[in-house]
Amino acid sequence: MENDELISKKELLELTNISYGQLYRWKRKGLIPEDWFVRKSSYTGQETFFPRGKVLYRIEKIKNMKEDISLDDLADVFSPALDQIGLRPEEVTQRNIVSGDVMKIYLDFRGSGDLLDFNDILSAYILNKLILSGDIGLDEGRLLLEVLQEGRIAFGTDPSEIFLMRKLGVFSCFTVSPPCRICTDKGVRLIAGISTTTVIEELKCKLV
Amino acid sequence: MDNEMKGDLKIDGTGSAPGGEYNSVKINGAGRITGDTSCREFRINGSGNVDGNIQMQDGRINGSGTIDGNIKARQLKIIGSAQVRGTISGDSLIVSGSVTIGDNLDVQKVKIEGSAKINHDCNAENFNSDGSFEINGLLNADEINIKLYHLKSRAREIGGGRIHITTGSDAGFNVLKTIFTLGMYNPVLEADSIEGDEIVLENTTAKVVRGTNITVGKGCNIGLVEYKGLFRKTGDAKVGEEKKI
Repeated sequence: MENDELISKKELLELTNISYGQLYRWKRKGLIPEDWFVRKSSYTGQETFFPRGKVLYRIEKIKNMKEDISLDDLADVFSPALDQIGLRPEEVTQRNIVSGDVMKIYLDFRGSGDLLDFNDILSAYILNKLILSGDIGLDEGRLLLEVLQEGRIAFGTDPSEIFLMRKLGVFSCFTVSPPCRICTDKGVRLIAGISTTTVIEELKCKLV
Repeated sequence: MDNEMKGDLKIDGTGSAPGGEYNSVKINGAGRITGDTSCREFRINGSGNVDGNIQMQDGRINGSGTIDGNIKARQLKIIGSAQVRGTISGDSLIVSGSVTIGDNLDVQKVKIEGSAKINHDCNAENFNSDGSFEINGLLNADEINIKLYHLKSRAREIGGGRIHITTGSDAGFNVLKTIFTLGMYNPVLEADSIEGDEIVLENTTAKVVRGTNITVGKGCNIGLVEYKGLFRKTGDAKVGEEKKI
């Protein structure tokens, strides 16, 4: 992600067929995060660039979604603020956000299970994703949940990334707050790197 | 807000009071409020200090006010002078005196009749200026109307939908005004870049102007113009390079 290719503002507008007015409006509404605007000096002074993959994906999403919901609602989807929601475990599984089996594991871990808040659903959602993809096993999933709970403070306010790795068959995971780079020895196999902002957006889209 | 339970705070001579929730806050002499405060009505007629953040529905600073924090206001009028260390956010801000903002200005509607200094960005739906301003970051608004009268205005970047920068009607040569402003008469706007859909400029100096339809009028000096639709140059405008994209 750190090495994401950059796209100039001019090229971006051309490619996505949006106007300056729209781009600035979306920036004001927080639909395009401030830290994606990368300023670089050029012969005309300053030029603005964006991380290519992220911004193109985001603009496609905004263009597709804005027909259904207003810009302000859209801003809620993209802002990583904590949601005031509470869902019963059955609702979460019924809406296909988390599979029934994974929900059972999560509830075992959590203890009581009447209402799940956004963080609960998020943790279960991440667990669900990784277990269903076969990246991690059940015990490893429990370890992950512990880490997610420890790192819970980072959710919502600061973007963070969760890294999962394995060395000589031994699983380990941790969270970091970007911008940062990790460097590992050769024996380490990185299983997955998950950005909380991306999963939060995914999850919010499912919850809307 | 439940106003019936809340009391009024009034400082007539010199005094200080703790922050908290009030119905109305009035400082007529010299007053200081310590701590975060929220109120319905906020008035400073003498000189007032707030050491903390303040939230108000209707605010008016007639004398001088120093806010050592952020202001959140449904509407705020600054007729005297105000210094705000943080951000002003809310619905509407009218500045007929002067204001200095340490961080950002984030409101729906801004009207500057006096002068405003913003250390970072200004985000608004409607931005109107008949006075002068200095914005060290980005001026981002859907509708930008700037009338230049006698002082220089500056923003590092300007971006938005419709951007109109024109010289005010009485900005022509006027002996009295020239004497009055002691040679500071300089109705121009300076920016590094201006980007928008519909752009009309007068007396503007910018390195780059990019947009769909662009009109560059008298007194302009633009390094590079990039346009998608129509480009018009009138009067004595100077444009270094023009490119249709």
